[in-house]
Amino acid sequence: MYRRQFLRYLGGSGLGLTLPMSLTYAQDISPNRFWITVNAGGGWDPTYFIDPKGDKPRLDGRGPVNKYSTSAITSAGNIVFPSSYPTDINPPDANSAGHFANFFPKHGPNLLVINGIDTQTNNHDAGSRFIWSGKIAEGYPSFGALAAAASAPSEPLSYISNGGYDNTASLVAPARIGGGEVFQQLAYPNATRPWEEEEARRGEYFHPAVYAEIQAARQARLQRSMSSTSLPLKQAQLAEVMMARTGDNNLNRLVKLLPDRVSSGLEGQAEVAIAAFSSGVAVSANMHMGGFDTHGNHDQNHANRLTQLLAGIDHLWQQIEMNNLQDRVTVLVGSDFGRTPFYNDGNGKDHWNVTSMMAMGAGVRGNRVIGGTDDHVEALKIDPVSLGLNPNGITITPEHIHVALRQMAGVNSDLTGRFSIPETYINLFG
Amino acid sequence: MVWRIRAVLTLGLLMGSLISQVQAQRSTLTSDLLVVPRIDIAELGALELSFRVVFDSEYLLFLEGVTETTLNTPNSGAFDPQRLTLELDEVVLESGESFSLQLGLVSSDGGYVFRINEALPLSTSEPKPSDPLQPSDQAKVVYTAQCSGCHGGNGGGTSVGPALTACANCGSPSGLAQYIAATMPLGQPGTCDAACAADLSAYILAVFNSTNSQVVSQTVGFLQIMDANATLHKATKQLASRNPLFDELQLVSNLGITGLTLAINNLMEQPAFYERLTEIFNDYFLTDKYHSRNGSEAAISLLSSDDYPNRRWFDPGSSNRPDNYSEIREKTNNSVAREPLELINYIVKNNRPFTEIVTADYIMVSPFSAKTYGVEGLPFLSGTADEFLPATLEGIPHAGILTSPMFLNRYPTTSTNRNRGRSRVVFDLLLDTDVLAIEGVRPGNSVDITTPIPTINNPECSKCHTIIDPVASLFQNWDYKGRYRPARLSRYGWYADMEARGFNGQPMPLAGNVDSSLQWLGAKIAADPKFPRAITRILLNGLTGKEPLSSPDEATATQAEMDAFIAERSILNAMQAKFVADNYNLKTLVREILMSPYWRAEGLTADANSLSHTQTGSSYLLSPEQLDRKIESLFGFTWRGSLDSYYKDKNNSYTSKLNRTFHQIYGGIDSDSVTTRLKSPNGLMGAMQLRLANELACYAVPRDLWKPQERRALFLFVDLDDSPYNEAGNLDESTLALIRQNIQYLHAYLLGEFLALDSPEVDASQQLFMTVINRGRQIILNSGGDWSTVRLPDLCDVTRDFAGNDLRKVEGEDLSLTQDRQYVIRAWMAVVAYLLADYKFFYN
Repeated sequence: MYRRQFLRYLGGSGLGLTLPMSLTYAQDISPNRFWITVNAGGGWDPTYFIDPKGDKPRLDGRGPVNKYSTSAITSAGNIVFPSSYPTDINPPDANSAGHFANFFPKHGPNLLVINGIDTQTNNHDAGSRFIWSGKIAEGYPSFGALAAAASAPSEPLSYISNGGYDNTASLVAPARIGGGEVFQQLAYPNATRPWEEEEARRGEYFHPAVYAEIQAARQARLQRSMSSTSLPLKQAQLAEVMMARTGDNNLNRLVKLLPDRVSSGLEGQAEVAIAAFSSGVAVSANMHMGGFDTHGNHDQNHANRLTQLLAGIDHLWQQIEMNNLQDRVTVLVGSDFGRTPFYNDGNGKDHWNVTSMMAMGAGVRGNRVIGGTDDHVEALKIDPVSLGLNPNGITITPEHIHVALRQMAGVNSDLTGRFSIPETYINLFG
Repeated sequence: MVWRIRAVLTLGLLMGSLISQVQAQRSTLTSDLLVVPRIDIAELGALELSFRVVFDSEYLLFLEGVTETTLNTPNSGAFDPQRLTLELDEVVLESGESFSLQLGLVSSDGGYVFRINEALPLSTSEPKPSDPLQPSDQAKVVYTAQCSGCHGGNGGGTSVGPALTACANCGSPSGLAQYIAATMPLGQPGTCDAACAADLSAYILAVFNSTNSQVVSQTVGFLQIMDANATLHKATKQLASRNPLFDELQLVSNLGITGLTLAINNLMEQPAFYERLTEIFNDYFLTDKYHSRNGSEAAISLLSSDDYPNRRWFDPGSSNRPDNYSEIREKTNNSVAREPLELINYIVKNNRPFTEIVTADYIMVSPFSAKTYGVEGLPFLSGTADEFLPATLEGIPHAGILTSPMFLNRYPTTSTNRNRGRSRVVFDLLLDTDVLAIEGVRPGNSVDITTPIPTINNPECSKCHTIIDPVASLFQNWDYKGRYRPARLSRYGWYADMEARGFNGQPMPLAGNVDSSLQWLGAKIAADPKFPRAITRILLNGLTGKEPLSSPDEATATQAEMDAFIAERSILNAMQAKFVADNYNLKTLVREILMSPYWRAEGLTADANSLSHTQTGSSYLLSPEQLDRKIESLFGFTWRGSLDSYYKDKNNSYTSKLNRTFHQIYGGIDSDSVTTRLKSPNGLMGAMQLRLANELACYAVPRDLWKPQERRALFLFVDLDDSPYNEAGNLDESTLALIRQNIQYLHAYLLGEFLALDSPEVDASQQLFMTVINRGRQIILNSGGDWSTVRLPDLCDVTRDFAGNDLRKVEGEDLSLTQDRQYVIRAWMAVVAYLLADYKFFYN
C-alpha cells in the first residue's frame, strides 16, 4: 500500500513528530464501519413529527403546542407521530416518501427516536456545535470527523462534508463535494476524456510510462523538501500534501458506483456518500439541508422542509440497502435545537433548547423511543439503566449521545482523552 | 555565545519602546533610531551620530545624521579607522537594559551601513525593589477577587477571559491602567477606580509580564529570516498574486530593505491588493453572500422599495429590456453587495484611519448603485462599476458597516433575538471577544421561565447578557431587514425588559444619540483597545493563513506553548501599537506583518526548540481565488477547458474551473452556507492539484513554444526543435546547456525558487527531462514512427490562435502545431507538470 510505504518513510526520516494529528491517530485499516449525520439546519420542531403534542390548549393560555389535531397522533410500532398535517396548510404529496404516513410505517422498525434532549442553548452556533460534537464549548471535532480520524484518516474522502458543523479539530481534512461529475476528472487526472467509460477511449496527457516517471519525480521532490525544511509548520503541510496524494486512490471505483446522473439536494448527497463508502474512500459524511429556522409561517414551512428531509433519508436508506451496507452504516439525524412550544405573533416558532434526534442502521436497535417531554416540552428525566422515564433520573444531553456514539464507533482513548466528554455512558443505541 | 547575546539585543530592538531622552555619554536607542552623542573622528572632530535601524535578516544601522557636537559632551565610544569598527560604551534601552556594542562597517557605497558585531549586556531590566511601579500587597488580593475568575490565577487566561501574559494592552503601565479603569471588570468598570487600576496594572506587568522580552529573544531569536529579495517575491505573490516586476526587483537590488519597504508600499497602491483585501475581510464579514453568484438580485432585493423606489432602475419592464439588461443588473447588484467591502478599500486606499469602518458618516456607491439609492451629482470619473465614491443618504445616520444594509442583513435578528446576534458579531469581529465562550458554564436548563426578566434578574443569564444586551439595544433603530426604523417611532417602542443602550458598562447618553445610537457605538469601538487587536487578527489570518495563537490553558499548557504564545503576542502588540500610532493606517499594519520575523521565517537554527515553533511561518494553502490569479499571471490564461474552446468562448459562458467546478472542492467559500475555508488538502484536492498541473502543462507548453521567442513566458532559452540529441543521435552539449538554463529559469518563474545552475534540484528536473525524452524516442521508435506516437495529445495541440481563428489554413499555410517528432515538447510538458504539482506552487 502506498500509505504504508509513506508511513514507513516518515518513521525512518524521524518526521513523526511533525505529522498532522490525523496521521498519529491512523489505525491503518480499510474502513469497515460508516457513519452519516444528517443535519436539519436552523432548529427543527420535534413536536411536529416525532414528539407530537397536538392542538390541546396549554394551561397557561399560550395556545396549543401544535395546530394539527391531537386525534391525528398515531403510532407505527412504538414510534409515535401525527398521521396528518394542520388543516390550514398545503400538505405534502400523499405519495411522497417524506409524508409522515409513509415514512414512519416504513422505517419505524429500524428507527430509534430520542426525545427530551436538552441542548442548553438557543443559539444556532452553540446548538449545532453541541449536537454534532457533544460539547457546547468550541474546538471539538464533529462526530463524523472523529469517526473518520479513528479508523481511516488518510482515505481521500475520509470525511465528506456537505455543510453544517464540520469542525475537524485538524484530525482529518473535510472534503466538500459539488456534483458527482467532478469525480471523473479527479479519478483520472491524466485522462483527456475522463468521462469515457472505456479506458482505451479516455485518452491521456502523458503516455502512462512517462506519467509514472513524472509522478515518481513529484513524490521524490516532496520528500526532499520535507527533509530539507526545519520549520515544523512547513513539514506538516508537506506531509498533508503527500497524504492527499498517496492514499489508496479508489476514486475510480467510486465513479463506477455513482448513478449516471447524480441527484440534487439530500438525495445527491446520499448517493455520493454511499458510493464513497462502497468504494472504501470514505468513513463518514454529513448531509445537510437548511430552512428549519421557521420564525414565521412555521407550519407550512416546516411541513415542506420535513417532507424533503424525510424523503432524503428514505433515499439514503435505499442507497444503503442497494449497496448492502445496512449492517455497516449508522445514520444519525438531528438539528441545532428545538422550537418553542407555542406560536409567536407571526405564526412562527422561535428557538427552544429541548430537541430530539433520530438514529437508524448498524448498531441501532429500532422501533424504540427513549426520553420524552411534558406538555410544555420541558425535558423529562430517564433512568440511565432501564432508559424509562424517571423523575429522579437524568436529563439527556448531547453529551450522553456522543459518549454512546464514541463507544459504538470504537474511538480510541487518545482521541477521547484529547476531546473528553465527562459524562457517564448510557447504552442508548444497543 | 556572542550570537545569543546578539539575539537578545536584536529582539530587544524589535520589541522595545525605548527611551527618547538622550543622556550624556550614553547612546540611546529608540524603536528605529540610535543616537550616539559623541564620537571623535580624526580630522572631523567631535560628532553626534544618528543611525536608522533596519531589520534585514539582522539589524543594520544606516548612518543618517552627522552633526558637530561640543567637547563638553562626554565621549560615547571610539571609532577604529583600521578595523572600521565603532565601539559604543553604553547603549541604553527604555527597559533599563544597557549594552556595550561593537558596530562594524559593512558598506560605504552610497551611504554608511553598519552591523552589530558584538553586544555585551551591562545591566538588565529586572525591576528594582524601590521601583515605584511595584505592585502593593493589596493588588494580589484585588486581582484574586476581581480578575482571576476570568483571567486565571496565574494570568494564563480561561475560556472566558484572555491571558494577561503579553496581553494586548500591556504595552505600558499607564496604558494598561487606563484600560482597566475604563473597561474592567467587563460590564462593571465602576468597581475598580483609577488607584485600583494602577495597582492592578503594576501587578499584572510585574507578575505576568516581566520576562516577556527574554521569552521573545529566546523564541524568535532562533529563526532564519529570508532575505529582502525572497521577501519581495513572497510579498508580491501575497498582495498581487504575481511575480515581482523588474522595477520592484531593481528597488530591492539597489536599496535593500528600504527598497523592499518601498516596493511593498507600491504594491498596496495597485488594484490587485484591493481585490485581496476584499477577500481577506469578506472571509470574516461574509457580505459576499449577496454577490450575484448567489442570486442575480441577492443584494438589491434586501433594499426596501419604500426606502429606495428606484432600486431596480435598470428594468424598464420585461418587454423593453435592453440587450445588456443582465449585465447592468449584475453590476448594480454587486455594487450594492460590495458596499461594506468597498468602504474598507476606500479607507485603506486613501490612508484614512481604519476606525472609519465603524464611524464613517457615508456609504460607498458606484455609478450603478447610486441610481439605486437615488444619489445624484457625484463626480464619477470613469462611470464604470468598479469606481466607488462616498455618498450620504438623506436622513440616515451612517456608522460605517454597522449601518450597512448588507451587514445588517447578513446578521439578521428576530423579535426574540432582539439584535443579540448582531451584538455577538460586533464583539467577535470588531472587538476580538467571543461572548459565546461564556456559554461554556451555562446551567443545566437554559430556559428560565420563572424569573421575571431572566436576562437581567437571573445572575446565570445576566453575566453574559449584561455585556451583550446593551450593545444589542444600540441596534434598536435598525429593524430585522436592516432598514432604518427608529424604535421610538414604532408602535411598541424598544423592549422595556432589556438592558438599556450602552457599551462596556457605560450607559449611552440619550441627548443627541436617541435615533443614531450606532454612531455612538462606532465611536466607542473606535476608541477601544480591542479594536486594533480585532483588525490584526483578521489581517494576520489573511496574510499568514492562521489567526494569532490562542491563550494556552494555564492548567495544561507546556512551557513551549506558553513561550510561543508570549513571543507571538508580544510582537503582535508591537505591530498594533504602530498601527494605532500611524492613525490606524491599515497599510502600516500590512507592512508590519510582512516585515515581521514570523512572516519572513524560512527555517529554524539548529539549537532552536522546535516545540515553540509548531505554528511559526506564514506558508499556507492558496485559496482557489489566489491560485486562479496566480495561474493567470504566469500563463496569461486561467485554468479552463481546452484552450481552443476557452479562447473561442472567452467572453461567453466559460469560466475558470477554480471559480466554478472546483471552487468549493478546493476549499472555497460561498459566504452563505459554506463560510470557512479548507486549509489542508484532502484526497479530492490532491487529485485536483495533479489534474491542474497536467492540464496546464498541456495547454501552456506547446502554446508558449509556438509563440515567437520575444512573446514567451516559459521558454526563453530554447526552441521547439532544440533537442539534446544531434542528428547523429549524440548528446549536444551546447543545447543541453540551454536546456539546463531554461530549467533553472522555470524553477524561478513558476516556483519562485532561485537555484544555482549546479543545484541538485536543477539536476533532478533535467533528469526528468532526459528520462522522458529517452522514453518517448523509444516509444516512437518501437511504433515505427506511427502518427499516434508523434502527434501531441489532441487537447494540447495548437490549432487556433488566441482569437479562435483556425491556424491550419492561414492564407494557404498551415501554422498549427500538432506534432512532436523529437518528443521535446512532451519532455518540457513533463517538466512543467512536475513543477506545477509542487508544494511551492500551491502554497504561498
